[in-house]
Parts: sequence; C-alpha cells; structure tokens
Amino acid sequence: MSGNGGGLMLKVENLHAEIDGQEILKGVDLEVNLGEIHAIMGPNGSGKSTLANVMMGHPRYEVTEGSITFDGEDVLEMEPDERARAGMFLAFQYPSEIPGVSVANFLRTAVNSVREQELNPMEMYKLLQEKMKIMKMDPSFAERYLNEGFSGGEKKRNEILQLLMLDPKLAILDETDSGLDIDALQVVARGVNEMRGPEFSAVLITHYQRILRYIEPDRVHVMLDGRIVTSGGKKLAEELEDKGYDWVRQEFGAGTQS
Amino acid sequence: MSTNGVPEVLKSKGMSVEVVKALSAFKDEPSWLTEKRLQAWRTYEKTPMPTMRDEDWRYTDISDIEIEEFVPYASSPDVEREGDLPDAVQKLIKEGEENSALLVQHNSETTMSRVDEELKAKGLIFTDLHTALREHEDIVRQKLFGLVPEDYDKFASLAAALFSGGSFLYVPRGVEVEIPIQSYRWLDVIGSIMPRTLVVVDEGASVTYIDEYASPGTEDDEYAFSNGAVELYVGQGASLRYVSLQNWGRNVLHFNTIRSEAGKDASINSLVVSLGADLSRTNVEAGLTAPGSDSEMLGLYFADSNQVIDHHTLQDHIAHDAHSDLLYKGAARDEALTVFSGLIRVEPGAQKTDAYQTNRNLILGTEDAMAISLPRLEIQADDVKCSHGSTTGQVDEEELFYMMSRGIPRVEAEKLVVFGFFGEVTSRITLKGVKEKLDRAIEAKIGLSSEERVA
Ligand SMILES: Nc1ncnc2c1ncn2[C@@H]1O[C@H](COP(=O)(O)OP(=O)(O)OP(=O)(O)O)[C@@H](O)[C@H]1O
Ligand SMILES: [Mg+2]
Repeated sequence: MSGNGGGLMLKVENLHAEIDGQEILKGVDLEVNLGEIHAIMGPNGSGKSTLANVMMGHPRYEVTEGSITFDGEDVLEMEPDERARAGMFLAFQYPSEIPGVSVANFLRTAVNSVREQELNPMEMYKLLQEKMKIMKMDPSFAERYLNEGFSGGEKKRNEILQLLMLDPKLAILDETDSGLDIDALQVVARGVNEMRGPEFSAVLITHYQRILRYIEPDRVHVMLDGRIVTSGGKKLAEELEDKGYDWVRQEFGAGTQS
Repeated sequence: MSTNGVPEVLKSKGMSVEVVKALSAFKDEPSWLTEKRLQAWRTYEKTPMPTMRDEDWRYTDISDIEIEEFVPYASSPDVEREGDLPDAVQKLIKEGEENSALLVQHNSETTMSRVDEELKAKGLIFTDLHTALREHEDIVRQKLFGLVPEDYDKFASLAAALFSGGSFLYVPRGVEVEIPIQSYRWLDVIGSIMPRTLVVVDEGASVTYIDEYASPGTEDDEYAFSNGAVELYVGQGASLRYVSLQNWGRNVLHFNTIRSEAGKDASINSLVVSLGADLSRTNVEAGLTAPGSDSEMLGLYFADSNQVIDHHTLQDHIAHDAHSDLLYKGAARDEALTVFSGLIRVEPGAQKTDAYQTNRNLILGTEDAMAISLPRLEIQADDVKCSHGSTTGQVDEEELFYMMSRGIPRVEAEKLVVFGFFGEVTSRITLKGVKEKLDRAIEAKIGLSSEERVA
C-alpha cells in the first residue's frame, strides 16, 4: 500500500440505502485516506452507482442506516450543493443534459458557488481555457449547451473538465472510463493525475483494469449485491479482469456469507 | 389630446350606447366612424359573453367578468416633455429600447408623442388614432377594422365601439427605420383602457415597433380592464418586427387580438410576451396572404399565483409558397393556468406551404400549476411541409441534482434551468433592451418562488 498516510478523508459505515422501497445498499463500509485513490469494481447492478449517488446526496435514495463522514463532517445532513462546497465531487456515469445553459455559464456559476471568493470574468476565462487545454477540448465547447448533443466521450471529458475547474478534495468517478477510446482515456487519466496529490482523494468506479494502468490505485474493492465484499491491492483488479466475478460470487455471494 | 370637458357619462361606471355616442362626439369624429362604432356596439350587445362551453374559451373562465360595469374612460394630463411624465413611465422608457419615435398613452388618452425629425422628413407618420383620423383620414379609414373587424368576437366588438388613444404608424415606401418605435400604455386608475394599434408598412419599408403595457396595480386592487386590437399591414417586400410586452399590474383583465397581413415576400416577426395581468387573453393571427411571405411568431409567458394566461394563435396560410414558424414557451407555477391553443391552417391552393409550430411548457414546483397545450393542424392542400410539437414538463429532479452536485444551490439551479428553457426564445430576440427586461421579469418571477420556499 502506498497510502500517503494522511488523515481519514471519507468514511462510509454500514451504509444501507433504498430506492422506491427497494434496498440496494446493504451495509457498505469504505475508508479512504487523504491522498489515496481507491477503485471499486463489481458486476452490473451491484450498487456502485447507487453508492456514488448516495454519497453525493441524490434525492431519490433514502438512507435507512449507517453513516457517511467526509472530512470529519456528517454529510447525510447536507444537501448535494453543500457536499460539493465541502469538497466532494461526482463525475456521473450518465451526466444530465441541460438545454439552454452553456458550459461556460454553468461552470461560472458552479465555480463561484464553491469558491469562497468569486473569480472575476478574466480569471474565470483563463482558468477555463487552461483546463480545456488539458482536456484537449475545443474552446467552442464552452459555448455549447451543457451535454446537449455531446457524444459519450465528450460528456466524460466534460465531467473531468468540471473536476479540474472545481478542484475538490474528493472525486468519485463513476465509470468515467467507459466508452472512451484510448486517446480519450489518456486525456481523462491525465486530468485525474493532474489533481493527484496529498490533498486529493478519489474513488474510481470501473469495470476495466485498463484505466488503472494510467491511474494507479492504492486500493481496490469489490462490490457485490450492495456490499463491499473484498478489498486488496491493484493485483486484485488484474485478477478480476482475468477470472471474472464468479469466484467472488462463490466466495462472498448471498448464501455463502451470513 | 384634449383633456378638458370629458362628458360625465364617459367618466361614470357603465358602458352603453350613450357612452359610444358621447365618445364619438367628444372626439369630434366623422360620421362614418360614429356609425361604425354604433354598429360595433350593436354587435357587442347581440353577442353573448363567451363561456367555457365555447371551444375557444374552454379553459379560461370569464364568467365573473362584468365588462359593462367598468368606467369606460379616464383622462390624463397633456405633457410637453418626457420629464413631465409619471416617474414610473419615465423609468419604463429609460429601461426600454432606444427609440426613434415614442408615444405614451396614459389611461384613455395620449399624453405625449414624439417622432425624430429625420423620420418625419422621410414621411413617417406616428401619432395617436384620433390625430391620425383628423390628419390622415383616407388611409385610416381604409385600414382601420380591416384585420380586427367589429364582429371578430365580443371583445373586438367592444374594442371597435369604444377604442380611444391608440396609435397609428405609417412607414412610407422604401423607408428603413433602424431604431425601434415604441408606444407605452399606462393605466393608473381603476377603469378601462382600450387602445388600438394600426401599423401600415409600405412596400420595401422596414421597422420595429414595440407596444408595451404596464400599470402599478396589485392583486389587492379592484379589477381594471384592458381591451385592445392590433392591426399590422406589411406591404410587398416589407418587413416588420412587432413586439407586444404585456406587463400589466395584477388587477388588470387583459384582452387583445393581434392580426397581420403580409404582402408578397414580406416578413413579419412577432414577439408576444405575457407576464402581467390577473387574466390575459391574446389572440395572435398571422395571415400569410401573399406568396413568399414569411412569419416568425415567438411567444413567451410566465404565470404565477392565480394568473391565467391564454394565447390562441393562428398561422393562416392563404397564399402558396409562404413560410411560418411559431415558437411559444411558457412557465407556470403556484396555482396559475396557462393555455396555448395554436392552429396551422393551410387553405386550398396554399401549396408549398412551410409551417412549423412548437409549444413548450415548464411547470415549476409541485403545486397546482397547469399548462394546457392544444396544437392543431388543418390542411387542405397536398404539397405542404407542416409540423407541430408540444411538450409540458417539470423541472427535472435529475437535472437539478446534477447542478447541485456542482455546488450550485437549488434556487440558483432552478434559475439556470428556467433561463435555459426560455433561452430558446430569448436568444432569438435581437432587441437588447427587450431581452434585458424579459430576463429581469423572469428573474423576479423565479425569485418569488425562492422566498416562498424559505418561508
Ligand atoms: N427505482 C428502482 N427501483 C428498484 N431497483 C432499482 C431502482 N433503480 C435502480 N435499481 C436497482 O439497483 C441496483 C443497483 O444499481 P446501480 O446502478 O447502483 O448498479 P451499478 O453497480 O452501478 O451497475 P453498472 O455496473 O451497470 O453501472 C440495480 O439492480 C438496479 O436495477
Ligand atoms: Mg453504475
């Protein structure tokens, strides 16, 4: 483990959450230290996006048990925007399209919402140009309506652009690598690595080991049926990719464990 | 503009044939007009008040309105300069578009009007209707009531019988007016205002004309009554940009019919904005009456509390090879009701018609607001391209969550969504002052919701 040994950034404890009366998260435990990058893998439908959404405060999920502590604060009491201002960020698996709201306008509002001191228009412009360059995005994107008509890969880049602009303490990336070509993957990885440092932690939700070659995780967790059932180093990711999830199911699936 | 000696019958509650006669005599009108007004009054009396059983009034309930109880006429002082206008009107003017000609109707009377010398020299006429009747009787007689006739509906009958003030704009052949021409209707008494707008844009001429309605009344005031008619004639190859900005106080009951006629290759862009009044009913009808004519029809409305805002539109394709494109977008919150009923009618022989119609509605909050959308097509020609679409939806929780997850508070996120929603219309408005006014008005309407939410 190469954790930087900083304090605890995120602590999820015995988290249970349901949607429309259906329990999806059945006791998730997760600890991420300051400066660490964790990966969460797991089969479709195991609850990875649910965990990400619940951490960010999606209104449709109800937390029935457990706690989420971020940077020492109980975030379950906080609205999504308060969580963002506290330093959390979620790159969505399926980002929303917002007609009529330009990327630039959106980012201006968002950046000024999370910062203690507002940026003046010139500073904002410079910051946006700089970050778009890192993401290899054409400047014309700034004037397009948010995610409207964006290709899958463009949406993902746009999520990372927002990550760079908002400069959070913790980023949760929900399958940001899915649907990206090799070049785009490298661009996205560069974006995340740009942020990497002792003050930044990340949780990468992914199905593929390939992004973990570019963004090396400190720890890998496997989620199954609403729980994190096993964790390990980056070797675990390789093992999963080679062997699939059957062995995990056999070892940890419902019925084999309490 | 005489304000003295208004006959007593005009200043007292109640509308009647005596009122019609007294008004016409007071304005010293030619006998053909007196006769026209009387005929309109007879039609008005014969026509039953529309009820919700009438197809055109199915959703808008006006059964409580007793039109004849309103005071028919209210005078106002003449002023020489803009600086002598009521402060609120001066503010409207200052916040409005730069203008090259200006007319202010205060209650039933025109209180001032002004036209840039340069435009006068080119033969442009812009004045109130009574002056126009005295100085340009021939053309007024030829055009007045031509598009909104006295038998159009009950409100049009009354608008013909009892109009006063109003405006007449004539743009001579080939004259291109760069800076908009603007009229303000200001109502600060409990009574009625019945302006008429008559615009004649001659061959190859172009102009932008803005009709703006405003008043200080509030929900707590007694009802006031606004009843108008707008007739827009656009000649061959001419172009007219027409804006109607209805921002009445909340005690006003507003009825208006806007109809246009287009010459060969003429273009008309209308923008109808309805934000104010307690009840607002506007009919907007574009007549594509000559080949090559083109009509863009934009509409924007936002209803809150108990407001009822109702638009009935018609794209009337009479000639072949004409084009019309309508986009009306509205929001409703609280217990408000909005109605959009839009018809594309393609008459026999109107081949190669291109007609589009889109109505989109946004419901804000989970309260009892309602948006009715009734798009219709009536096509009697076979070689046409027509389409219509209508959507009504709420602010998407998923979208709000997305924005909030970026640190944007809910109220700000809603604002972005609403501005984004209206952006499709406002981005097509080239008039900076109008656009800014709209943005502020939309902002104010959304602002209300945040206060209530906190409360
Ligand atoms: N409204 C709902 N009612 C019932 N079950 C739901 C509802 N919404 C989601 N689910 C279920 O919750 C489970 C977890 O979904 P989630 O999106 O978190 O999975 P995931 O691990 O992110 O999967 P993937 O790898 O495909 O992205 C799924 O089985 C899904 O069908
Ligand atoms: Mg998922």
